[in-house]
Amino acid sequence: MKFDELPLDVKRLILRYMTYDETARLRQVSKEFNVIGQQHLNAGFKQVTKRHSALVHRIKSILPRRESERRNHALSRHNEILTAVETRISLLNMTIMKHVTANQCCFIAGKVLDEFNTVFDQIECSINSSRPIARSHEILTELRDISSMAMEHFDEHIVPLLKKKLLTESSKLKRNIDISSLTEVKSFSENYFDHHEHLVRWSTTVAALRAKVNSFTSICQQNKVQVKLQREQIRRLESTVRQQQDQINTLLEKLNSKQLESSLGKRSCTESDKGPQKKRWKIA
Amino acid sequence: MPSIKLSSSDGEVFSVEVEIAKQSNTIKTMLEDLGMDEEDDEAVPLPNVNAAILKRVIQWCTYHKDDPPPPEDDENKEKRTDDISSWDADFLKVDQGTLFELILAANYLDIKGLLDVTCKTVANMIKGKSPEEIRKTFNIKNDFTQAEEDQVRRENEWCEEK
Repeated sequence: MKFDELPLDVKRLILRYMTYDETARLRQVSKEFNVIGQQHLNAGFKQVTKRHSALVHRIKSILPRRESERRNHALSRHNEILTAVETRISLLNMTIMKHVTANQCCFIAGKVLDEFNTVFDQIECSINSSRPIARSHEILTELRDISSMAMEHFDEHIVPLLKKKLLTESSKLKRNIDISSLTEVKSFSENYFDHHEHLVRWSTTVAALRAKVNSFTSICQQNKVQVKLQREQIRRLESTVRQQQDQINTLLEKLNSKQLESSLGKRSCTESDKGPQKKRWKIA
Repeated sequence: MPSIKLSSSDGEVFSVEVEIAKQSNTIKTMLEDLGMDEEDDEAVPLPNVNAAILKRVIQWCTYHKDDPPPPEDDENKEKRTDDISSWDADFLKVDQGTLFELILAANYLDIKGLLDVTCKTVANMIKGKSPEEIRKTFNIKNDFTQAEEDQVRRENEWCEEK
């Protein structure tokens, strides 16, 4: 069995027995070592941050809250050192970790992580044994030196590389996007034209239908007007009929009266001729 | 002393005291959770471990049966690799292949003590070696492209003494 055949978990387990400095150098062995080394280093920075805040929490809970009392407390120097460490952590966050979170590289400075842990060990050892801690500058010198070295190197030599890499990658990406967007636009426009054709066809049918509906309504209206006109005519005719009937009536009346008159006249005439006769009959 | 039977991948059956076998969390869980009867005559199959390795694992567990339970891992503590007992060091004077197989078996059987000491041994083989020496030691192929290798080297240059 060969080393390569060991599962990744086991390889990670083995790496945990290495210092972060050794881990950083192991990255040069192979791609796989590089990947698990990078993960180990990034996790290492998180572990340092976590350990720092746990220690700060622990010391804060022991220290008095009043500033004047705090200054004379046995743990005041520990607190001071942790504050300086915090500054280092935030500096590293602003320089290297910024690119790590952007997935551009890993936390390259393994040795710095080891030094953080050495400082933490000293602080913990002093708290646990209640023995005074060395002067803060003695404890922090190495950490300050090497973290500054790492950041300087990173800014001068690594960031330009990352930028170059990013640039080529982005141009590659852009080309890919161009191509993919082009095909997308093409398919979109094809789709669009398809839809458009459909739409045009539909809209012509709709327009035809609408025209039909319009013509029907206009016919309807015309019909309505005609009906109205005819109704009026009917009304007019009716009124003439009525007038004529009136006329007929008056004429009839006249006729009647005339008939009456004439019959009366005849009677008077006959009365004068045959009046007594008639009278006679009447009497008879 | 109650004992159980363990059957290796190649069919060899080993009779082991239950207390010794229980150093393997895998076997312990099998016995406790799955309610395997300790008196049962049927052997527990271990399809991932061959007879030669299982024999060695049992040997290690027998020697360490009275050890206190290993402490929980503390991610803040740097792991020492120079605290391997002389018995373990002698026990692990084997060829690389056997060592890796022991790691695999310890991982599968979940025997923390054995996994720790075997990983430490491999870590010690890595420590202090240059990348090229590590490749040679473990027969690892350098699969970097020139650009990739340059970049990793560049990233590590910051702490090199000039």
